Amino acid sequence: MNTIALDSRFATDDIILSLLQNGNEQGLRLLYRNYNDAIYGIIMRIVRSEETAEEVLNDVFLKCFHNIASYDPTKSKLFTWIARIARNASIDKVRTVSYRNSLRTDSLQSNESIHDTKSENVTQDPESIQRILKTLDADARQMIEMVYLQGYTHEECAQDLDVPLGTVKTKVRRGLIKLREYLSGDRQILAALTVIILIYVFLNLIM
Amino acid sequence: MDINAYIDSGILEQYVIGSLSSTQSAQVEQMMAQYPEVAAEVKSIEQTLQAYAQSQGVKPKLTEDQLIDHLKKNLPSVSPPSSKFPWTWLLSSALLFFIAFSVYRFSKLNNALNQSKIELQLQKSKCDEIDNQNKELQSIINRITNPQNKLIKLAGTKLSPTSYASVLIDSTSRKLYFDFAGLPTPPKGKQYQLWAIQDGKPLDMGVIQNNVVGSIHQTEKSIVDRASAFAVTLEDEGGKSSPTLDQMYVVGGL
Repeated sequence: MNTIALDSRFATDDIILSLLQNGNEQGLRLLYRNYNDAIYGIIMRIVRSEETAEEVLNDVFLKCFHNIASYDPTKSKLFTWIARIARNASIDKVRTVSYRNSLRTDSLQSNESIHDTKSENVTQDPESIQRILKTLDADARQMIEMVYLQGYTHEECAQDLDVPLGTVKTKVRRGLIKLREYLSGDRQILAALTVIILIYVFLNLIM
Repeated sequence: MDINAYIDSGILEQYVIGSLSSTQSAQVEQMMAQYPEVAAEVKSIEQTLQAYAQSQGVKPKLTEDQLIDHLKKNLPSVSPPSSKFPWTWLLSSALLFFIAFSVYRFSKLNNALNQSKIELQLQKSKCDEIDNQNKELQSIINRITNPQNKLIKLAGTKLSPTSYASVLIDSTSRKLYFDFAGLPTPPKGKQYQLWAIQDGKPLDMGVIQNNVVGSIHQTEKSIVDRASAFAVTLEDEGGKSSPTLDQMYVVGGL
């Protein structure tokens, strides 16, 4: 198998995808390098057991490698696709009888412990995202996490927190819009930088 | 349709995280194709949720190399064949042996079956033959026991005192049945000839074809009614118009 060392910083989804489509293990390496912690974060919040989460994480990435033919880039981003697989695999795992039994005997694995793990291990730490999240009220933060990371549907979230469905939808949506505003501002800076670099290169070429 | 209300409903977020049913997802995809602003919103939600998930990421213990190691172990083409017991080879060989053995057994059994079929056919034809003989014997018995028929016993002459024969006259069909089982085998170039004696004169009833015992001769009504005796002489092949009296083997009267 081809093992050309590629730096994940330059590996766009397109490059990763074409490597995966060719069955190149380097594609899996880059995919894992780029998304392991985000995907593991999703899995951990659902399965709530480190050992099981590691197992699911392994299975999810291997599944992505083997089933890359079923990914349609015109329908979603690569990350969205993997996140869906991870979420579904985690929910399936949680539903198995053996898993439920193991949880019953392992009372230490509580929701709080995951949060603790998270705060210790967050790797990509865009503090500004955290800051934006902090501007939301605690309920909204919890709802966003439940819906986007823990695999809850809006209905399940409303039921669990005992609030109207409309409230969940509104709060989750507002939170998302706030995050987006932050991100788009970030992207504008990136776009401006790119234009400056391009002008610089262009001027260098013609002079 | 109020697109803004549709976007604000939260269905697109649910679509992105994959919590919709396949029918609902298909409906969203249809909306995306129809309304570019819906498609743009979905793209934006994807980017936002990716950034959000990455900001909430947790470092796993599983390393890249361990993952690749697991990938290699799961891929049959990559895993070293020597490291594992060759179950596949063993099973394939066993299967192949089983098939070969089955084919061999089948061909053997098939041959045996064909042999049995031939044997059966042979036995059947033998049975048919016996059946025919039985029928023939039955008809002979019927002819003998029929009170309408006449049975004439022919005794050996001085020439051959141990010889004997019999003639059965079927008065209905006017057939004469000869049984020559008690006559010696005729020498080469000779044949037995049967004579009916009517009004003191011998009448030629024909020769025994191929010297086969049980010859049948059709005869006149007058012979049935008036023949007084029967005799058998040994003649040259083909028979004669008048009997050679010193070659008379058996004779008997009614």
